[in-house]
Amino acid sequence: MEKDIKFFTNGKRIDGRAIDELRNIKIEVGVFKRADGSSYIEWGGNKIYCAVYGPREAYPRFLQKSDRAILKCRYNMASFAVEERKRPGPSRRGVEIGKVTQGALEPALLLENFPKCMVEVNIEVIQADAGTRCAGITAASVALANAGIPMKELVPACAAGKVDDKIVLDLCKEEDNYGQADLPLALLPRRNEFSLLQMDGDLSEEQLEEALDLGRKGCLEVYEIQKEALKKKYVKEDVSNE
Amino acid sequence: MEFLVKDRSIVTPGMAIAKGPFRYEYGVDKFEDTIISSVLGIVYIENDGVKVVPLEGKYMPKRGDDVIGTVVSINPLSWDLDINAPYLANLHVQDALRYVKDTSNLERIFKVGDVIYANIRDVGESSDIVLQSKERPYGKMKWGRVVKIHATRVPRVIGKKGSMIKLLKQMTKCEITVGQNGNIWIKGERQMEDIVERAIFKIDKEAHIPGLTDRIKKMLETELSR
Amino acid sequence: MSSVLSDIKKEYMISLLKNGKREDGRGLNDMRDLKIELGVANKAEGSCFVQLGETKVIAGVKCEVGAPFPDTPNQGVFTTNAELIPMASPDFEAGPPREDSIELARIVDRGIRESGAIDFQKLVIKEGELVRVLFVDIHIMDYNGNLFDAAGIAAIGALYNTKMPVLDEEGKKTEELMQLPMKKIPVPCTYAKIADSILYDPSMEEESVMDSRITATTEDNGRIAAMQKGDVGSFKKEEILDIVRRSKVRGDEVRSLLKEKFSEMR
Repeated sequence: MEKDIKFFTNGKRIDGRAIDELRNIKIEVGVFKRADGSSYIEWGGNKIYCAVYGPREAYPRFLQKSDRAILKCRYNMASFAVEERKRPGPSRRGVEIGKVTQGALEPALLLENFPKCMVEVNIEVIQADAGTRCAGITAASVALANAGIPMKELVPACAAGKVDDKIVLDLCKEEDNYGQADLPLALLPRRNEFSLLQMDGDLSEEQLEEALDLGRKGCLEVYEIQKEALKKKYVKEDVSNE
Repeated sequence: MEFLVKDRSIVTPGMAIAKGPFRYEYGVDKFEDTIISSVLGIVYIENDGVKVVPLEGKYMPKRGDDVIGTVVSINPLSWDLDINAPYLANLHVQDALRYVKDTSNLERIFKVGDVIYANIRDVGESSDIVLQSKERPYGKMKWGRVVKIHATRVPRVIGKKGSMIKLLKQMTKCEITVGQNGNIWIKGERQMEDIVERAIFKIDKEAHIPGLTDRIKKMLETELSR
Repeated sequence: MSSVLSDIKKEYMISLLKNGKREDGRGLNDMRDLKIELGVANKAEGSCFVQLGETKVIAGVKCEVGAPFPDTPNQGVFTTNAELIPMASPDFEAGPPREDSIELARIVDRGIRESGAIDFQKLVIKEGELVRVLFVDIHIMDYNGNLFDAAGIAAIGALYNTKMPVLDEEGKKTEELMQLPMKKIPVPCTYAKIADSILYDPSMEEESVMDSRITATTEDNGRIAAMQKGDVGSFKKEEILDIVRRSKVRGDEVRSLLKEKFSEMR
C-alpha cells in the first residue's frame, strides 16, 4: 500500500495543513423542499447531500417497534463521484457505511417519542475525496435537527490517522490511500463517547490513544460548525425579511 | 438556578439552557444537573419554567385539538386521514356523522382527497389517533383552499386572545378555520384568499421575530391598498 | 400515501386553468425559474446541476474506453441512466431502476441520440476495436415536478461541460484534455394536459392531476428529434402540433441560456 510520497514538508502536510488541522468545511441547512430535513456539506473535496424523511409509519410493517421509531440510513455514491465510474445501485461498501452511520446517529436520537415509526436518512455523495462517511454523518445529524427530530445532542464526526509514523487529523486523499492508518470517529459531545469507530492499518496502543484524543478534538471543531450552520439558517431568514 | 442562554434565542439540540431545579416542559431534556435543548428551536423562559418551541417538525397530536386533514384511504368502516402527524388519523363511520343509514359504501360519504375538519377524540397509547366530526362546525370542507404551515406556529396565527386571526378575518372578509395541525382553510374572494395565504406564510416564516402583529398589519394594509 | 392531493386543491387548480391561470401565478406557457450550474462534481469528466422551480437534478458524465457494439463498429458507445433516489421524494424507493426512472432515462437518451448532438464517429479510437464509452448518470435530488426537462437539460449541460483526456492510438490517456465532439443542443419541453388546457413545465401538483403529457425534444434548427406521450390519456392532432410549435420557442430560450453558460465556461 505504501508509496514513496513525501507526506511532510517543513512540518506541513501535502495540502499545506498542520498535523491537527481540519480541511475547510461548509454546511448548508434546508437545501431541499421535499424532504422533512436536509443539508449539504462541502468538506475538503467532498460534496455530499443529505435528506431526512420522517418520522412516519414504518413499512414493511414487520419492521415496526412498539416502543420507538427505527432509524434507516442509506449511503450512496453517485457513479460519477469517483475517478473510476462506480456501477449505479447498492454496493457492499455503501451498505456497510449505511449500517455504521445508523449506529453512530441512533444513540443521540430520542426515538421513543415515535413508536411504530421510521426515520430515514439518505446520504448521497456527489464528489468523493476521502472521509465521506464522517462528512456524511456530520451532515446527516444536521439534517435530522432540521427535520425537527428530537435528540440528546448533535453528532459530529471526523477521522484521525497515521502517516509517516505521525498521528494526523482528517486524512486527505493521498494520506488515506498511502498512509499507515485511518480511524474514522463520531462523537457524542455531551457524554464524551464515540459512536462511530472503525480502523484500518497499523497503530500501537499509544498511537491509538493519541489518535482518539486528536479525533475528539476534531469532532468538537466540527460540532461548532454544525451549530453555526443550523443557527445561520434562521438568523439569515430574519435579515432577508426585514 | 442559572440561565445559560437568553430568552427567545435560537438553540440547537444538545445545547445547555439552564442549571438548577427548573420545571422543564417540551423540547428539553436533562443531563446531570443541566437542562439541555432536545430540538432545534426557540427558548422561552417563563417564571420557573423553560421550554423550547421547535422550529421544525411534524404535528404532535393532542386530545381535544381541532385538525384539518385529507382522506388518504378508506377501510371497511373508517377512513384514514393525513393530518401532518407521524401517523395517519382514523375516523370511524360512527364518529363521522350523526346519522349514518348505510355503511356499505363509505366512498359515498367521504372519498379519497376530501378535506375534513375534525376533532381529536383520543390519542391511544400506541399513538392511534381517533377523530370525530359529528357536530358542526366539523365535517367536510367545500371550496376555498388549505395552506399548510408548521404546527408549532399555529398559536402565532391565532395571536394573543385571537387578535391575529381576527385581524386577518376583518381585513380580508375571508372565512378562516385554523387546524392545530398547521392546516388552515381559507374561503373568500380569490384575491383576498391570496392575501391571507401570503400573510399566513409570513407568520410561519417570521413567528420567532418580535413585532409580528405590526408587520402583518402593515403588510395587509399595503396589499389591500393596491 | 403522503401524495394524495386534496379535492379542494384539484378543484381550485382546475377553476384557475379555465381562466388561463395557474396556482403558482404562471401563465400556461411559462417555465418555472431555471438555474444551470456547470462543473459541480470534479471527479466527473463533465457535470451539471439544474434547478427547475424546486426540482433539483445533477447529471455527471464518465468516459471510459471499450469495444464498440458489433453493429456499429465506427461509433462510440453512449448510455444514459437515471436514478430516482429515495432522497428526492418520500415515494421513491431504493433498489433497481423501475419503470419511471427507465422511461425518464430513455426520453433523455433519445433526445440526445436522435438529434445527433454527439458526433459518435469522432469517438472511435480504432475502428471495430476501441471506442470511447460515455455514461451520463442523472441523479434526481429533489422531485417537485417535470423531471423530463430538468434531466434533459442537465444531461446536455454535462456533456458540453465534459473535458476528457486525449487518447493515443492504443487508447492510453495523454496529459492533454479535449471536449466532446458536440454538434447540437437538444432541449426537451414537457407539456401537461389538464381538463383540456395544455400547460408547459408542470409542477408536482399539476402532474398529480394531469390527464396526460407530451415531451417534445427540439434541435437548434427547429427540427423535432424525439417525442413521447406519457401517462394515461390522449391528444388531438391540433394539440400535438401546438405543443411542437410551443416547444420550439421555449426550447430556443433554454438553448440560449445553455449557450451563455457554455461560453462562460471557455
